[in-house]
Amino acid sequence: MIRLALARLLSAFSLAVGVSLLLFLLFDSGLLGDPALREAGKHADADAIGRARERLGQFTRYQPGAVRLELRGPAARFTLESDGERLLLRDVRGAELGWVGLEDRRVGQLAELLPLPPPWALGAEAADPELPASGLAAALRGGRAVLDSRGPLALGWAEASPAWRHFLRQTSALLRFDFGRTRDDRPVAQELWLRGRRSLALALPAFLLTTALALATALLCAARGGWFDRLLAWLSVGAMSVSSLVWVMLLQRWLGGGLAWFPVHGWEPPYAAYLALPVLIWIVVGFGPELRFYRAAAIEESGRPYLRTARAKGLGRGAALRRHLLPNLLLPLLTQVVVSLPFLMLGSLLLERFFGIPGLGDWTVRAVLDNDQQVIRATTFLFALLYLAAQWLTDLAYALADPRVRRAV
Amino acid sequence: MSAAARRLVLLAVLPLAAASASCQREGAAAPSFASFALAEELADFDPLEAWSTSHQVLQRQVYEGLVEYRYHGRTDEFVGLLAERWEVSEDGLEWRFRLRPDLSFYDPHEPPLWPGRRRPVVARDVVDSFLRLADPRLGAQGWFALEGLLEGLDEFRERAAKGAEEAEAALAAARDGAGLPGLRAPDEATVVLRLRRPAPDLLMRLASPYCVVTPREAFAHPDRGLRDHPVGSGPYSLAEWLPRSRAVFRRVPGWRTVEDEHGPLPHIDELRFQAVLEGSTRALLFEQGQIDRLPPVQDSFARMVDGDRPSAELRARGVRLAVTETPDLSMLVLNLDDPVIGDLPGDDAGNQRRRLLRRAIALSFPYERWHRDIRERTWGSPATRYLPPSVAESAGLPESAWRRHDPELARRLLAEAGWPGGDGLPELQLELSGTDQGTADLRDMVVEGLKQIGVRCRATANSPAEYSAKTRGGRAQLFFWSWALDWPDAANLLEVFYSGNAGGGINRANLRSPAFDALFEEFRGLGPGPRRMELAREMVLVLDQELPVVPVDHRRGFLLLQPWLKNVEVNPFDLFPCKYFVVESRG
Repeated sequence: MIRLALARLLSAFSLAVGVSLLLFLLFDSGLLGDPALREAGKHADADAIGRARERLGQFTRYQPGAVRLELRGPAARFTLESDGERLLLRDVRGAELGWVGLEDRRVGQLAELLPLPPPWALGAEAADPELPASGLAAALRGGRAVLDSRGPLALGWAEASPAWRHFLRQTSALLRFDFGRTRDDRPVAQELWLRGRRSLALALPAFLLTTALALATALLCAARGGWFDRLLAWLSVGAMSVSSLVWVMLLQRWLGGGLAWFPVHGWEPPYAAYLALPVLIWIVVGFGPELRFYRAAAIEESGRPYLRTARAKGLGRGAALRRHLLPNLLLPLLTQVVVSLPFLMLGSLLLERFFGIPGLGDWTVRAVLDNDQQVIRATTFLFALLYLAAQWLTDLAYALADPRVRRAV
Repeated sequence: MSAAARRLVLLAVLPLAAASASCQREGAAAPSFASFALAEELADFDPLEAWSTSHQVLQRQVYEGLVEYRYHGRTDEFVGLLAERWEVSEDGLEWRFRLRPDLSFYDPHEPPLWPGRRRPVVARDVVDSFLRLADPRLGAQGWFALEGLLEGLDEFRERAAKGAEEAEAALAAARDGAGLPGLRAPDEATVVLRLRRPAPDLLMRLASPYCVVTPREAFAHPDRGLRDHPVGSGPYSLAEWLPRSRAVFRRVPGWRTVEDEHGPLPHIDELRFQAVLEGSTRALLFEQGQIDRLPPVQDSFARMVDGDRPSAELRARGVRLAVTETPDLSMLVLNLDDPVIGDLPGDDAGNQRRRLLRRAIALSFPYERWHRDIRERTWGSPATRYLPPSVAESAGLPESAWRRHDPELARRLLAEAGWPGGDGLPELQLELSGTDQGTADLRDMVVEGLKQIGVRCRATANSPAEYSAKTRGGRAQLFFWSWALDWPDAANLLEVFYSGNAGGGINRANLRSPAFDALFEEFRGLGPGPRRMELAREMVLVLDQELPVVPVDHRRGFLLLQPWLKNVEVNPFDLFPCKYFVVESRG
């Protein structure tokens, strides 16, 4: 048992590191966008973006206008690009004139390093000529600077934070459950706790009611069969054929708008009033698939010989269902319930959005759209851990519910 | 139905019944409140971050600047807010503002910053707030409002960027003694701003949401800050706050005596704001009378708006419709740094050919189709000039010669440029953001329009991040972009073409025209008058000659107002000045 627990812990640790690595690669690739651009604002120039990178920790230090270059000679334009370590010089038509290695060079040497064809020459003026020239490439990485004879060019200088150090720092923070702060400077952990509770306030009662209702109806279907079973099957398929978005909009407009039985939107005491309609919609949307699942399991079990034997012994239909069929439905029930638990934490994006419940679902989606890396990192990590915990719980519950599994373990 | 099943159904129904009851209790309306829904999450209260609509709407209720837009006035008319009056020196460089004597900050939070929750607003608060805006460590997005304007302020910023110690020393020097030459408080009621250059748009800058005045005790408080604990001198204070979701403001008790024709300001006791992200939910709330204004979006527009008036049903209820012209310009950008279509220094003959090519591109675009398919003949008005109609100089400007669909002329220009029927011209590259239907329509418009004149064009769909990186970095050849004005001054749009903003800044087309720069530098220092108008015309002629962008359209907005919400003036530069709004008996 101890060995099992240790193995589980080890797998949790490796999962955490794996998630952290995936997130790091995702953000580092820039797939979700450059947070510095938004941070810097719509009026931002290259310096404002460099300063934003410094605040975000991408640069450990940034110095605007570290060197000022002036193109001397006939009217012309050259462009400089950077791979983070070297500079690439192009002519006005975009043809490469050569890469310039900056290792072991100083900012003050830049004018001599750039291979401008004659008759052009560069005038350079550096605020601190002794700075390592590699910082110019670091500051320009992914961008482009234009050397134009019609005006001077100021290049910034940066000390980039090494990727491995960034990764280690992030992983270590995640393992310590230090989730940092959101883009608008709120503690992520506190927001997770607040919003997680609101999401659960919607999801937990909705999920339990849906499960209980679907299970009870499935048992009835199995017990009665005939037209009742066919009608329920038909109704559930009908409900499932309608998109959940349509259900949300329809019921919100009808029950909240037309009949005005429920508030349409909001989150203030008494919270139950604002939760009632979303819970009802969750049940309407979730009932069909749940019923189909439990009904299939119940009908399959109800044809088993042990149930016929129990009825033959004189047990009533209700008692046979309760004492014999229900315990045998426990395994599929546990599978369905436990695996759903992590998803409950994230709540329902649609319902939270339409009804203004400030939970985790919409927050997470918003974080992806806004490229709020700390929030995405924290919710992904937490979700992975919850999923792992749910799997443990399932294994444990299987062992408790089924003696055959217990003996095998 | 079995007993167990009956119990389950009952369990499901009971909370709903309870909810319904509490919903009815909730419906009891209090007098004198206004309720608004914003289509985005509610932003917080730090004026350094006042870039979004949500920031500006909420902060407007609590904070005040030196001046504000005149209510019911033109968008270039200003009245004092914190300032009682101001004087300008003859050279236009020194502005002396005299503060009202009855100003005070009000702190509604616990524990309050001051006994009695109040303290007077003094001139030093203006200095502190502007220094905070300039402090590079805080990364204020609104720094552009004062950048390059006040003597000594840019130098303060440069010094403060050199490290924590330098920053503290620069701050101490700027606050103490004589202060900065361009930002001084000679006494408790006087603020003196000394400009580096004449700036006729100074009042517009000072009325922007970035230049509001907040007390140092609040923004420098180690435990509070302004983010969730706004403290200002405005007519309302924050009473309830659920970050990102809900904010309630109440009238500040004993706020200074200011009156308009409807009586003492503010006219409404309580303001309720909530974030309602779904357009259909906002429409439903408006129909139920739970929110007082609604910009109808596409899914509710057809149902709620009938041409330029509300639908018959809403009209019967007394709902009004205001059509708002967004002060912006949507444009097709032609990157002048690009070797195929751009302007290459030292290649005069080639530049002339490429200029003709840019005109041919402009003439190939089906503007009417854009108006029909992208704006649905509703959401935009054609931009025949470079400036939106809300800017004073716009009406006197010539129309762009190339903003029309004329494939025949485009073909002739292309032949004249040496690429008859597009022969020998490399394939053009159009960059698009996203892959939605609107973007696909846009792609078809450009590609088919160019094909009509024999020019091949390949469109590339980019993620928003890639698009932003390409267009900012000068790596996009053709793309669409919009610029929304921060204040109603032509210079706020024309600076988009200033060479100082090229190479990664807001000059996305990378126009580097010494002629335009010289005109712009003179233009931005002039107040309204014939010379300014003349300069604007000349700048527009340079733009039409060089064609870094083609003006496409200006966006339009629609606003439905409940019958009980009165005295609402829609000013795109002053969102929700709620102190002027009046609520009469609610329906």
